[in-house]
Amino acid sequence: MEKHTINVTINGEKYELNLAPNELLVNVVRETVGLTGTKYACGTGQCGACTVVVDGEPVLGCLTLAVTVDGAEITTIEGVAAPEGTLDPLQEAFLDTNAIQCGFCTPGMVLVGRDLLKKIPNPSEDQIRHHIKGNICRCTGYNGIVRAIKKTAAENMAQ
Amino acid sequence: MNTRLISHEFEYHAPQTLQETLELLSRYGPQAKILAGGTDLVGHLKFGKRTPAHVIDIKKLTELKSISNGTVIRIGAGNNFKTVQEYFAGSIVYAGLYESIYSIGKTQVLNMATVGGNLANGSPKADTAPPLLTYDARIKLANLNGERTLDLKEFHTGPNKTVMADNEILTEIEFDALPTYTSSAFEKTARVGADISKITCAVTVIREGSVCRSCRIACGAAAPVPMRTALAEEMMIGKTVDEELINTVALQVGKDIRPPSYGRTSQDYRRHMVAVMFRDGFWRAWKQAEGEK
Repeated sequence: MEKHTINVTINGEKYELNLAPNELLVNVVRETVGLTGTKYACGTGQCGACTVVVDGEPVLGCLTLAVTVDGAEITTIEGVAAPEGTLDPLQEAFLDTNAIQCGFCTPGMVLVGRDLLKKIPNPSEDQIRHHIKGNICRCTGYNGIVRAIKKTAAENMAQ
Repeated sequence: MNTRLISHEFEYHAPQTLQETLELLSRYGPQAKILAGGTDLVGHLKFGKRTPAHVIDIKKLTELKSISNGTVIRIGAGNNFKTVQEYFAGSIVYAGLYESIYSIGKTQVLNMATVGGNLANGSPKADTAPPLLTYDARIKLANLNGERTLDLKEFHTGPNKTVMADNEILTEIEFDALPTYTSSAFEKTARVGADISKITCAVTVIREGSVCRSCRIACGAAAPVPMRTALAEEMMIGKTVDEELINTVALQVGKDIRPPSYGRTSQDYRRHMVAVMFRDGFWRAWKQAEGEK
């Protein structure tokens, strides 16, 4: 099994990685690069905990061969807050609306929520629930998460 | 079952052009699998359901990512669901194709999975197959020696089986533009919203006032392959549409399908549900075809 060298930018930092073809993006991000905010949960593309943003679009890290993202710009949950630590407005809203219990789904939820707000700045509740359909939360019952996305949208609209 | 990693080992190829891809397929054919979005293949690699010695990644092939609209609509097989969904958003005629992708729903899967992959992996449950079947879609297969075009309804031969040879790749899906006063709809039943289909039904209606010029019906997860329901369709041609006709045709759709007797969903349930879904889909498409909401 021949290894391949890929160049990627993760949260603004450049990495040159030498990878076997069967390595999964979620494991490379967590173990090779050391960014453990991205979670492994179901491993079969059902739960969305492994979501990372590749070239502007959320994808599933557990179903992506890492060698296929050569040249890509990747954002993980660690790249969402400002470098000095100021949280993203959606992260603040998650705290304000109690959208977090165990926190395992949160990285994926925040990335997908931001993706929605980028595309539809003022989404309806249906649009929110449809957009986060690929992310499973087993604690909150989703209501807090939906409220957090709505709150951020309302704040953006007010500005 | 360990879903954390892929224990199977393989060589990886990332061709930049279709020509290069065809050469790789001709060299490695039976030992190779094509990787498009990966939402099916990578799972299969984890579970050892597929053990190719070579994986050929076609994500970089811009040649497979065109999409055009004229007397013939052509969709490059490498377009992801999101692109195709956005392309057909707001279309009354092709609403069925849009709805089939909308029903898959998951943001990440729409960004990854391709319409070509949805057909080429041969699943009888492929959500885009029924609407495309009702558009009389054709598909293009290429190998080093050239290209062939065949009707989508000839493509699937059994669960996870197609007529595609080891050295071939699906490059394009095409169908003739449908006339005005046409609309289509897609209905799906699944365990939960974002789940794999238990049964699906697509309807395309060409309407002339209160007369149905033609009604094409296709179902997924209803037989070993995605299928059209020929007898039910015949009952509709040239008929004045009323509630009684549609209820009768709905029962025929239930008889036309050949659902498997295994799995989580019983034959009876599928036959019953598909009749209900046909009715819902038909009435939506029928109203939309004349611009009614």
